[in-house]
Amino acid sequence: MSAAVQPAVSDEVIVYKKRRTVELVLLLFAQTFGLAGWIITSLNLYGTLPEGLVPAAALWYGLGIATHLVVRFRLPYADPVILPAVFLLNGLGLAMISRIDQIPEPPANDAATQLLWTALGLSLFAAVVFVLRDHRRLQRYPYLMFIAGLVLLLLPLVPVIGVTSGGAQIWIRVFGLSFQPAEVAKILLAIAFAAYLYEKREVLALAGRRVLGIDLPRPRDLGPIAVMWLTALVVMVYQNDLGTSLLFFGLFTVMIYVATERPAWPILAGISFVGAALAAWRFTNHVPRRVNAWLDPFSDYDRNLQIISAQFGYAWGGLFGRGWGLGRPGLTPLAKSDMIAAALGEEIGVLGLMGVILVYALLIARGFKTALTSPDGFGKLLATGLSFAFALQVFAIIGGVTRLLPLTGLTTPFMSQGGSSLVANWIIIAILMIISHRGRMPQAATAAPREAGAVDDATQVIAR
Amino acid sequence: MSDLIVAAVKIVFLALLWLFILFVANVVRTDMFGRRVPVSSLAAIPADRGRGRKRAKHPTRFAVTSGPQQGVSVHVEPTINLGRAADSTLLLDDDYASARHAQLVQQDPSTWVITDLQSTNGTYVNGKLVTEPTKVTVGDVVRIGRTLMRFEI
Repeated sequence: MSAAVQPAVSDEVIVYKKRRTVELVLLLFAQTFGLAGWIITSLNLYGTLPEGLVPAAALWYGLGIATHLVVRFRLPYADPVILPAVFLLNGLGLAMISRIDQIPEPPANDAATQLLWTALGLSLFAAVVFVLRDHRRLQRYPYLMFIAGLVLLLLPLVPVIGVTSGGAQIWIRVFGLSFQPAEVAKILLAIAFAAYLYEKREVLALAGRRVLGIDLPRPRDLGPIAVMWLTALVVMVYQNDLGTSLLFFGLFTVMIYVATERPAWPILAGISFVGAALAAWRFTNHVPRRVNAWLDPFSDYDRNLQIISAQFGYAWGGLFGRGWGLGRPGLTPLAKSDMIAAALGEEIGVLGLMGVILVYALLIARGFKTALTSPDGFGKLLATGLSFAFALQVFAIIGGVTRLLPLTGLTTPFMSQGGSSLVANWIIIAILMIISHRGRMPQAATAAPREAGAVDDATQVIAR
Repeated sequence: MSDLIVAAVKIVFLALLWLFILFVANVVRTDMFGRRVPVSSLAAIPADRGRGRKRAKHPTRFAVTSGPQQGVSVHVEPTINLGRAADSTLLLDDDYASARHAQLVQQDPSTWVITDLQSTNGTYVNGKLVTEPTKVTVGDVVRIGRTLMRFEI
C-alpha cells in the first residue's frame, strides 16, 4: 500500500480587485456611442436633435445603471470589462437600426422594438443573476438539457409552427410571435456539453487505440459526437442553414478538445465537416450558390446583389466612413439583420468596423480569461464553450459580410435586429459573469480559519 | 450642416471609439495577474455566515470552503458519505480522495462523528490525521486532499 499523501494547500491566494467603479465609468462611456450615433444621424439627416431625446437618453442610461447596480450587489467580483463592451455593441446596433429606419417613407420604427427587446434581455440578465447564484447548479441535468437543446434546434422542421424565410427554415411562429429557437438551443447545448464532457473527460481521453499517431477514442464513446454530427447535417440539409450547423458543430468540437486535450477530436471533426461540406456542395443548390457569391460575385449581379452592394458600401465608406446617416445602407437587402456590419462599415468606415471587431475580440478574450481563472472544471468548460460560440459566430458572419468566407445567415451578436438572438446573448453574458464572479472571488473569503498545526513534519519548511 | 462639421464629428466619433478600446485594454492590462496575498490576511467568513445568534446553533449544511469545489454544500443528514463514488452524499472531485473516503454519522443535533473508511490518503480534522472516530462540530475543519470542509449554520 502506498503511503498517505497530503497535498500542500497553498498559503497564498491570488486576489483580483473588484473594480466596479471602473466598470461604471467604462459603461457610461460605452453607452455614449449608441446615443451619439443616434443624435449624429438626426443632425446629419434633418439638422435637428432627434425627437424625445431626453426620455430616450434617460431610459438608455437608466438601463445601464440598473444593470450595473445588479452586478455591483450580486456579482461584485465579476470581470469589469464584459458589461461595457456588450453595452457598446448593443448601443451601436440600436443606433444603426434606427438609422436604417429613416430610409423608407414614412420611417419605420424597428429601433423602438429592438430597445424593448434590449430591456427584456437585461431583465433576463438580472433574473439569471438573481436566480442562479452558482453556475455549478447547471451541472445537474446534462441529458435533459441535451435533449431539450436538440428538440429546440430541430423545432423549425415541425410542419405547422416552422416558418421558412430567406431560404432558411430556422424560425418558429407561435401565436403570431416568431422566434429563432437555435439561439436558446446554443445555451442549453453548451451547458449540456460542458456537464457531460466534464464527467466523461477521462474516459474520452484515456480509453481507445492509437492509429497513425492519433489517439482514437473507443467506438462507444463516439456516440455523442456522432449524434451531434448527424444533427448538424440535418440542420444543414433540411433547414438550409449553413451557419447554424457550423456553429453547433464547431462548439461541440472545441469543447471536446478542451475537455480531453486530444488532437484526434478536432482532426476527426475537421475531416467529417469537410466531407459533409463537399457533399453539400455537390448535392444541394444553395451551397454552390453561396460559394459562387463568395468567390465570383459579379458573375450574377441580380442573384448576388446583397454581397455586391455590401462591397460597394465598404468602398464608398472608405477608411473614415460617410458619417452617420450619410451613406446608403438601405440598398443592401437585410441591412438591419444579417448585413448590419456592412451598414456600419459604410457609415463609420473601416476604422469604425475594425474598432467594433476589436471590442468583440476583447469581449471574447475576457470570456476565455474567465475560463482560465475559474477553479472548477465545469465552469472552465462552460465559459470556453460560450466564448467560443460567440467567437465563431462573429467570425462567420463578419467574415461572410466582408467576403472573407461564404456568407452564412447568422446573427451579429447584440447588433442584428432580432429579439431571440439579443435575449439569448444577454443570458450568455449573465452566465459568463456568474462564472467570472465565482472564479475571481478570493478562495479564502469563504474558507474556514487555517487548520491549527496543519503543517506536517514531512512538509515542514526548515528555516535556515 | 457644413461638410467641415460633419467630417469633424465623424473623426471625433472614431477617435473616441478607439480611445474606449485603449481604456478597456488598459483595464485588461492592469487586471492581468491579480495580487498574491497570504491567506491569513483575508477575513474569513465565520461558520454562522454572519447570521448572528438569532437562529438555532445547529448546523444546517456541510460545505466545501476551499479547493476546486469551493462553495458546494449539502444539507446535513444523519449519515454523510464523502468520496468520489457516485452515491456519496457529497461527491468529491479531488485527485487525493478515495471512492469511499470517510463517513460522518450524527451523534447529537450539532455533533457528527467522522470515520475514515481506510482511505488511501487519509482524512484530517483540524490538521490531525483521523485514526479513530473523531467528533466534528461547527468550527472544525475537515480536510481530504485539497478540499477543506466544515459544518455551517
